[in-house]
Amino acid sequence: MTNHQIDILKEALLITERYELKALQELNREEISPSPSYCKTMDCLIQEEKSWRKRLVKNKKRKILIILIAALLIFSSVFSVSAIREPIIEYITMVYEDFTHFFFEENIKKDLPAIETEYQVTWLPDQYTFTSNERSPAYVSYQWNQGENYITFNQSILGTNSIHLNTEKENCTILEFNNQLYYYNKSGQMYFIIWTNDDYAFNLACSEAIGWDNVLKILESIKPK
Amino acid sequence: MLTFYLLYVYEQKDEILFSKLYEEYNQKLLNFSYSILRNQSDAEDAAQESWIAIAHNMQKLRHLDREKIEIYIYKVVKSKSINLYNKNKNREYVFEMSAMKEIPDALDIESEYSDRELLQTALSCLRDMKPCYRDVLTLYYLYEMKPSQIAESLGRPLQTVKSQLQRGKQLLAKALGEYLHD
Repeated sequence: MTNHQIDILKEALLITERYELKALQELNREEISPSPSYCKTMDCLIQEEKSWRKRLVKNKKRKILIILIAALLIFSSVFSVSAIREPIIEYITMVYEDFTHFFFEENIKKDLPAIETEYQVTWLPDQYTFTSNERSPAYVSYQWNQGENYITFNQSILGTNSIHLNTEKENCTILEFNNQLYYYNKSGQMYFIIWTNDDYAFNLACSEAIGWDNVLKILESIKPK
Repeated sequence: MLTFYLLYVYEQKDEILFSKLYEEYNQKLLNFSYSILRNQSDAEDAAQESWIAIAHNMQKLRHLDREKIEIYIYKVVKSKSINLYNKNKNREYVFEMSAMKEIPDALDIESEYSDRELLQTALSCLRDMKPCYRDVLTLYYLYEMKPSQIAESLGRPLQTVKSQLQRGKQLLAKALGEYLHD
């Protein structure tokens, strides 16, 4: 229908409705007044509805609060869908890693091979004693303590585990020592050193109290078993 | 009681209009509903449902003139009352609306439109149409309401309203067919 035809249809509807209204109003011949029970029921409804609805909906601040809560609920429900959640978590992880960590390996393999040649620390400063060891086929870790100071050494198969330096506060420095490149920095009260060879990635962390010379001695002492 | 209905009116400017309408029409609607249902309790229920539906649709009514608002209010309470009647009595209410037969020919109506033949055909079609279809068409075209708003206003299921709208349009198209092709 064209706009003109719709306008004529509206005119026809209005004329018809005028006559219907006239017919309906002719029926209003008897008068009743609301019953007490009806008024009482209505009062109860008023109290129940008024108690939350009016206060909740008519206050602008609360309207904003309702919108925020609704947005939060929508976000939560969306986040509960794993198909959406996982890419978001991956993205957050990627951003975190890119801006706060220095990585040797990004992609960690799922099928873990076993370490064939295990390296070990053959020299330690005095009074450091072995305290713990973690081991999996592709990863091994040792820790030695002296009071609150400690040394940790980790070895993992290259590409199976990530090793990293926290570069959020301190830059990474490259050290060439005994024909081997090391990446290190000092963060807080600790020295952190990472390096790789053709097969493995290594990580050494030492308390500052050990002293840099001793750290180099420890590095020099790391040899295959 | 008025406060209760006002809870459904979200815009403050609509509250004023709604208050005026309530004061003016509440008694009339109760009387009208009673004339259909012949039971005070049922009449009060129908009136209450009608006022809630009216309050929900105040945004549509605020721009209309008083005549159209009055037509809408009576249409709502008529529909709610008939629904209740049919439900309680388990039979269809039949209106005796002799005034409908008084609808004059288009030639006797003062109208701004020159296309009298089309107006006459539309009037004839609407006069002979079942009220259930005409109610829906009126709210759809004249009040520009969505099917969901029509469903709430008339107390009918949404699907029923959609079907009635479709059927009403078909009846109109059949009657106005030769004009619609122009």
